[in-house]
Amino acid sequence: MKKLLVSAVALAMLAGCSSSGTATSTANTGSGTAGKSVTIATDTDILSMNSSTSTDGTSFIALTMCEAGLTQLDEKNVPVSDLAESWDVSEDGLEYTFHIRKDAKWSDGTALTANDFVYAWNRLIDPETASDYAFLIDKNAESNTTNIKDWTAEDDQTFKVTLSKPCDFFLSLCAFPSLFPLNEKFVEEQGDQYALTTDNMLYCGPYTLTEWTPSTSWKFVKNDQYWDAASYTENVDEANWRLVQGQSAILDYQAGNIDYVKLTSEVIDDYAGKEDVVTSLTGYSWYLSLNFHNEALANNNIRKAMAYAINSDELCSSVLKDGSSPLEGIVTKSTTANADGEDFRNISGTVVLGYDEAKAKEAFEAGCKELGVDSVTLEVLYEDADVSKNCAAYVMNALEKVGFTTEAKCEPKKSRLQDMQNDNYDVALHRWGPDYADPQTYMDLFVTGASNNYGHYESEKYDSLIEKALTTDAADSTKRWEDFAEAEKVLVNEDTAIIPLYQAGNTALQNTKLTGIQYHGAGVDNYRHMKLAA
Amino acid sequence: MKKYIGKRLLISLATLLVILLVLFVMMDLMPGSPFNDEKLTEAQKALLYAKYGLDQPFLTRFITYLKNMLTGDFGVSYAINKDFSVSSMISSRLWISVKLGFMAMIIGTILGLILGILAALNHNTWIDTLCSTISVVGVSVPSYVFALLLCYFIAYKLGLFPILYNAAQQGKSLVLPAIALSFSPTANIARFTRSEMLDVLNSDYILLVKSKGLKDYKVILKHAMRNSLIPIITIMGPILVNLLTGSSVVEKVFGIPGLGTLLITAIQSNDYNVTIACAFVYSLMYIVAIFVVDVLYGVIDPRIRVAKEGGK
Repeated sequence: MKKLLVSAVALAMLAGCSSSGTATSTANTGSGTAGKSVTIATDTDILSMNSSTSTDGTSFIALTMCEAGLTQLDEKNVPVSDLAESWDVSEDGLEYTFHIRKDAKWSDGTALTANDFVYAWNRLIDPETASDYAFLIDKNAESNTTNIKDWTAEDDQTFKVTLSKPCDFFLSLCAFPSLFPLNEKFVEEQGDQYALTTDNMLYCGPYTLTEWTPSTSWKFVKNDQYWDAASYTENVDEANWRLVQGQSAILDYQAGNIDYVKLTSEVIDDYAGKEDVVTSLTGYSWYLSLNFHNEALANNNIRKAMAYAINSDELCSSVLKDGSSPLEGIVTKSTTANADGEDFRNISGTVVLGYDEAKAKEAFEAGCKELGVDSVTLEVLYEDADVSKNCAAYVMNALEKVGFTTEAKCEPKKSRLQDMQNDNYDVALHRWGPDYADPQTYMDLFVTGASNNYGHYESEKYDSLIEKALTTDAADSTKRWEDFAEAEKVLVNEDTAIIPLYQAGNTALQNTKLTGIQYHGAGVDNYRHMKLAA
Repeated sequence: MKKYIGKRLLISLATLLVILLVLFVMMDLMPGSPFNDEKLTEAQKALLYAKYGLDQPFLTRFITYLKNMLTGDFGVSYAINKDFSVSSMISSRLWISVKLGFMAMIIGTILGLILGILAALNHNTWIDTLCSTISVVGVSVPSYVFALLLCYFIAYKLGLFPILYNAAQQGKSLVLPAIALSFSPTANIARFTRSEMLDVLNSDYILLVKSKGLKDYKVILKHAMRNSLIPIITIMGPILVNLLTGSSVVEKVFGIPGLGTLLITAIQSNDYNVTIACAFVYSLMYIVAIFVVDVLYGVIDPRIRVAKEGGK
């Protein structure tokens, strides 16, 4: 018995002492050993470093760090050159000729050529790859987002793309990781091991991925072989990502071990006004999806009553408090850009009805009269994330003030989506994130019969405007956006088929010495240019 | 004894098979798919299902899974780390969770025994009340509250241990989480030890030993402990498995890449292979733990051994 006790105690002590080479981590200002190092806390893991099958934000951020495409986006969302030194666009906008840099290299020393783009793009649309993003460039499908017809490598340095119709945002989409090049020989050699570890990948970006422990951490180190390495001398030498979240991550930030950590809704108030709080806007548009199969919701006055009843300003400032901002339409702010760098929201203006309690009550009464009912009960479907719960509570309260009766239906996200797909809801709190920097990514959603048109909104006027933008006016950027603006007015203002609520924001604590993080709502957040002041 | 073990093994295998079947059925019934339901169209999802063989009929998939499992292939992950082998994902995390669980178990057992013995020996004094209070607090307060308190006061304020899990200092990083997790087993073991010790201390043979003249501590260690051990061993098996499987919140607080967090993430993202493999591993651990406890009974208490054999 004694022996057992003694050995047990010894075991416990040994377990506590094993593999503790270094001292306890003390405050670190990023000037650790050689060169500048940054640590970023993230709450989502890398899904895949394989650019053909990657689909999530965190993977895209990682890919943008260690790989590169034809173009990259600058802070204003304008595409500038990356692996393509320059490009020629034909007069009619149907032919793009990219000139690949002669000094572009893969990390194993082989030259990066136009063929790498041909291979990668073919792989993206291959049905066997089953990529989520094939629809962007699938030349074999009936239609694809960019209207691409074909692509070829005329020689090692020339990559030619032909379109059937002009595409305003094609160059900005070339910065998207799904369209990054792949070294055919290397990828085929790796087979199904490709991109599963740092050794099964080749790099062509400003950093290389040197360490990767899935679901724990990953580390990037500057790549001297990058064509633009000369401009990166001031940028951080090492960037670490750690998959941690919550209060302990914030504590680690305060201890100086982490330079960037997201703030969760419960603690935002505690940090209000502190100098290291940063807010940014994402491209997520949160809105209420209204099911037209519900008798009450099929009535325009009822829908208008709902829209007038909700005060998005108050929702963002008093309930969400995380940097979210009220939406002026369904298309978000600062995410879209035309050839002149203009934001679609400046063109379209404000199309939401706005908060007006008196008008809401009026519309509600008118609607009830038309329907021949005294009351309207609506079931509000939302997911079990804290942000959604708070938003839904606010919305239901606002509706009840105006005369509605509401019932709450809170479910995990997958169940919520399933219910929407099965036409099993009245009002749902839903969101859409843009796939590219053009209003089309939002407007496509509400065309009759569209797969994400859960509310079954059907409007000939809306459909014809969208059709016009995609066909007749495809070549005229200005007219195209005007068509979209008009369509948005029909959708949100006249028909109130959906009720845009807010554009999701992000609040984080950021080391005041850290600068250079670029947010692209409709692209990939760019961490390439991080700098750490001394 | 051998017959007994053989029979138990067969039953265990059958149980595991049934568990797998139930898991398969339950995953099929889950709403949504392992893929991006928010964005993908039905056509896109159909392609993905075809790629991973998810469009096959239920029995085909189940039998293929069983066959692969026998060679150690638990499939690939769809939604957590795409195309990564599930067995490698689990083995790296299993080791960390097991280490954490054992550390918590050892701390809990030692502290629990000490508390329980102290309470029993000083029955109805203030020591007894103190130990009982500690037990109640340990059982009622959730482990993550302890975790956060330890993290804040000891790791952050005093800087004695890393705040978050650090792979370079694995042992040190696991100390605070182990302590946080150990409160509950400490409390349980303390309570059991106390009541068993009280029973045993009041029994006839202890009275005899005392009257023979043996000093108190010898009485306890030599005679009373061994007899009190049985119920404690009974609960140690399930406690250990609870520690291994229920550590997810503490893992989340300290950022430990353990099995608990993996299972929860897998369930939330409908990652079939990972969920089934994790749940299977947990079931396996539970069955093994119970099996070991049963065999240990026979070793510790000859009465049980004889009873089993005599019963033939």
